[in-house]
Amino acid sequence: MNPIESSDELVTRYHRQALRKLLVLVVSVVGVIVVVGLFSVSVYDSVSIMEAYGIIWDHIMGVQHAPRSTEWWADRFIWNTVMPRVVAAIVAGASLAAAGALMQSLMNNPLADPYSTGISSGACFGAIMALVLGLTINSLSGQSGMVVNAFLGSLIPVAIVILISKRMPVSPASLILVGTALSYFFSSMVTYMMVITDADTLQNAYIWQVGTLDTVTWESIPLMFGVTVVGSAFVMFLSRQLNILSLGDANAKTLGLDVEKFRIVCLLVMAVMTASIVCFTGTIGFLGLVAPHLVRLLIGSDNRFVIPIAMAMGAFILVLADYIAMSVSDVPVGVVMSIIGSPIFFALILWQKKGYGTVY
Amino acid sequence: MRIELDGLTFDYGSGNPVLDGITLDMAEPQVISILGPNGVGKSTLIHCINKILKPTGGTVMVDGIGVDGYTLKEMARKVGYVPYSSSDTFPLTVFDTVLLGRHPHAGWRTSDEDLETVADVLDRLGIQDLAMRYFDELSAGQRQRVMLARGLVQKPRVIMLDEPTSNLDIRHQLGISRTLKELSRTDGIMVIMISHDLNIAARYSDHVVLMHEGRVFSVGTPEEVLTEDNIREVYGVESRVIDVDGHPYVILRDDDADSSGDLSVEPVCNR
Repeated sequence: MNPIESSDELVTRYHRQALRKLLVLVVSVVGVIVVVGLFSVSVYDSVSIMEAYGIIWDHIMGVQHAPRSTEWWADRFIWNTVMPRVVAAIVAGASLAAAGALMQSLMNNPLADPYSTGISSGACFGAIMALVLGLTINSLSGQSGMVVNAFLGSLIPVAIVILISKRMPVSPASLILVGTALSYFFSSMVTYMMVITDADTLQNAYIWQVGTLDTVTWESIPLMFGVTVVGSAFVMFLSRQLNILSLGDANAKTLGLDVEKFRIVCLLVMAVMTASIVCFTGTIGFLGLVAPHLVRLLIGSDNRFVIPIAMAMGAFILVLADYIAMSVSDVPVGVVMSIIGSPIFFALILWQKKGYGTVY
Repeated sequence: MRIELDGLTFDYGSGNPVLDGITLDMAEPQVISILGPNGVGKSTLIHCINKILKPTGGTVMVDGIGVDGYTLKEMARKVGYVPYSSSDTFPLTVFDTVLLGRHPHAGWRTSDEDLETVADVLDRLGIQDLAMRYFDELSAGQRQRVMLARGLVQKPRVIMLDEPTSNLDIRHQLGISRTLKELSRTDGIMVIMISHDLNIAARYSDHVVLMHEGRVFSVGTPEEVLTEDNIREVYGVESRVIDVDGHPYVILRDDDADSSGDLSVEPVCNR
């Protein structure tokens, strides 16, 4: 790098560096679009990939096709079978990635993910209670009872954290310890319920624990989508504060950030974001950990860029994993993601150069 | 700008106070050094002023208002803090790290004025070339200058520094100390620094606070405070204080060093 002569030149360079980060964003978004095309063609193979894009575009634009024409059939197939799970994958991927990036910054810990405060175990507890014992809030039955149970279950841990926060400071270490304690508690309850149930229910419970997009329908989308849009806008709005938090609690305070209040508010937002996804898809793991890290490895740790780009990256990863899961048939997407994601993540950690802490 | 401490006490909950009734009145632009042995409560004192810690007794007033009357953000606009070390779990570039110091003043967007402030301060501290490097790649001395830059872009009226020269080579020790003194003159900032280097403190400070066992042992000009008797009493170290260019200069003595005996082997260290 050439020596930097003037302040003006430095400011120019700073702007140019920001521009380069957008490249990663563009690549992720293009990746999502490509996979959506592949997905559509694999479900309805009498159209080409370009025709599939045309059909999706027409539907969004509200174009009506003549009943029983090729386009009409293609539209029905693509819109009713492919699109719900693709949209769910995009929304869930973006939301879990944003929540993961948020959690890692809040905890100042690269190992944190959206489930670090016990959200996943709470959700599992709620869902499996509905599945195995048929115990639901408002005695809703079937799928919707399970969704409501999982949503409420996943909020239990954060409610406990907020109650505790009145008595002690909410430091990253105390959060992780509380999360771990709650996880053990809920896991043992879940294990007990799974031991006493029959084989079919057990399989469903297992698939739910790993995470799947098979059961997602258009009805699931509005809640997921709404919470994700509001939640991620909020997280992006706070990205500068998250950068300050990375300096450590004491330093953040001296820059005017009320660390404890900030952490509680963020935890609450993150819990609702995660709960709104998990209650429909089950606890899709790994994504919230890996998507933000991939982005940090590529562009550094500035949350103003990490959060939006991790959302695009998360959407891309989950859509791709779901495409593979569907192609291989009947493998839950959570399994695919871990099998393919782990080696890639591992390789990146080995080859990483800079912009990263000494934790690895 | 005025900082008044009255009967300030603090303990970490163990019952033995770290600060045991500190009363100090500091006002107007100047350089103040806080000296004292390890564990005497120097950092704790600073943390009680900028609201990192909540005093267990006594009052802390900044510009005539108790610190409880300030939000953290209001405090951050008046009082800057340069810590001894900083977390590097998710390191940013030097430029972005320093830019965080603009937070107490910034709106939602980063303005070009913010960027120029950062660039100017980097220039002033001679670390422009580090701007695009990542914080975790820097040496301890470079990090220290980056943290100082972060404190300066905060544009506070008072800047408090925890051992700002501890990791620096001799040239930068003098350079940074001189910069701090200039700041007090040109920008009208009150500089309060914790130091272990008695001679740096003596050379650059307008006033010195010498702490001992959680209390203020002595306050005054470097000539008044840095005496052989005070150093013996507070640090338990023998010294000779001489006058160099009108400033006291402390020469440390260790008469027992030569009585530790001869080595049983012949040590080797050649080139």
